[in-house]
Amino acid sequence: MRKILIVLIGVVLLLTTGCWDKPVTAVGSTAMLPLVKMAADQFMTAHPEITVNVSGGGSFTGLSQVASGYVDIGNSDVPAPADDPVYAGLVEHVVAFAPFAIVVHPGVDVGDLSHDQLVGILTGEITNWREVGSAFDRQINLIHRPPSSGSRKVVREILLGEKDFTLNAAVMNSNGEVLQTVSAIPGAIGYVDYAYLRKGAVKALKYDGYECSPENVIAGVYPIVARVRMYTRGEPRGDVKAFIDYILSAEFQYDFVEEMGFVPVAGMGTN
Amino acid sequence: MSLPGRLSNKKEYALDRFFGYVFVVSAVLVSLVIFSIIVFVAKQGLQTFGDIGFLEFHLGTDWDPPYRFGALPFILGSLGVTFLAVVLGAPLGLAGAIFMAKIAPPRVRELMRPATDLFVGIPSVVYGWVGLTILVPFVAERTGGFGFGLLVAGVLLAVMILPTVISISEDALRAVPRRLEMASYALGATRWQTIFRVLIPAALPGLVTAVILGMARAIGETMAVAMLIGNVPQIAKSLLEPTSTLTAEIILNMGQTPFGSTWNNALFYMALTLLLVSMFLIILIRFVVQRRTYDG
Repeated sequence: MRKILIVLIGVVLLLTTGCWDKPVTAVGSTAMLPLVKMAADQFMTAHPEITVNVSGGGSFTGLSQVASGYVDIGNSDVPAPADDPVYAGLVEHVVAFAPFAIVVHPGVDVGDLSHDQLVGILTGEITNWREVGSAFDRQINLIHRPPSSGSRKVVREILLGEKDFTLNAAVMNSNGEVLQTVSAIPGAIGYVDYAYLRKGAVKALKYDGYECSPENVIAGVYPIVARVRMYTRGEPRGDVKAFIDYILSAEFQYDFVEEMGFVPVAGMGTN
Repeated sequence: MSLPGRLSNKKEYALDRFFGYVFVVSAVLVSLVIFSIIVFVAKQGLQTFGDIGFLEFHLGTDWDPPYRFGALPFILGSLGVTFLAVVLGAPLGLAGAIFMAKIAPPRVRELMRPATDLFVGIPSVVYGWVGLTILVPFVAERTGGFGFGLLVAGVLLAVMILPTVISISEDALRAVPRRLEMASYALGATRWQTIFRVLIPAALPGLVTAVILGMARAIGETMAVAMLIGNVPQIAKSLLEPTSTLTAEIILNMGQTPFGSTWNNALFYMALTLLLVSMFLIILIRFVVQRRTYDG
């Protein structure tokens, strides 16, 4: 009995020694999750000796976890608050750009909104689709994200500036739920990460005549886009640096980033 | 703790004592876990009032963190959906329990009882998903509005508390001594009169317990409500306007707010409020049940 136990322990030890190197951990933004997961899978195939653990939890979770040193990388689509000393030692790595698409219920007969129309809708000054050229007298039902959401913050900063979203809206917890709801409720409008767009039965609207696409983002005519960031505590070293370098490599940027619905950093130049 | 007779040999005494310790340790551990949860939630939650006034939090209607923390819309939302759920669900559940306990033929009861128990086991996210896919669009289409709001959340919660109400009140009804019923029939009462004037009054503490437990479930329900209420910090002017509840606000923002920030603390305080409310409801049940007597 004891012999069997010793052999078993030996086998387990042998099997796990490969994982004894400290794994690279990346936590944060759920919008970035598919991208980082894909990167981790690819990276681990190329470097079987390194383990990369990826999980969600939200941008702020990522930021606070990396700031307190619990994880190696904090994923966030909002910048770390510059005025907060907690985040002082963090180094930012922009790894991609994430466009947001404006989506509506498939029954809405409007295909294009000007900047002013969109702002009017988001702030609640425009409440009926007829006011933006629809043939139907239908209430506009804004479906969006909670105040703590990174996506909401980005859309507010880019489109609304000092103004705020109307209270007369419904708030859903994730991109998936926003898509589901917009596709189910007549007269609904919302915003989702471009990466999620193809998964829902919704209609994407043009903004000032331009549709949401990586090309239009690169051309600079579609401005509703977030910088997708990885934060490290101090300059990255070792396996962590190798992983971030892999994500920023031309290979990953061109083969996967765009395919996942993001815009490669290289394509955007330095702006 | 010694037992007479067979257990008198040393080894079994040792075993006996050992398991005595196991049970004591388990009991202490469980109490410790519950106690530390309460202490932790309270410690985080009460820090809220270092930054915000007590009255501003409870009576303020403007929720715009990190600037303004008026939580009244959530408090009213939680009370609203709970009230609606109990008003819709309790009579239905009680009627179902009376049917199952006293009217249904044994075979129907044997089918309904496991069905009710099965009902309890459905995860709330499933209720929420079904509500979001069917109920919300149904209401939205007919009203032109969002569909989200107190109405759909209340209706779904009513369905969700049904099994709790049914199974507990059925037990209470069946626990009423048969002789009370017999006496009532013997005096010439009809079935209707027997149910309403004998059975229900005799089982009242149990029935009240059932409704209170249903209430506790409704006020604490999170996932399904968060999917149906609309999650907007405004006081609903109608049953069809999106609003929010304490539970929905917590689940929506807990992962995204930095630990230790006022916003995060405010969420903990909401959790503390919910904890205290359900504790109050449980204590209430204690009082109700203690009064149960059949007068001979």
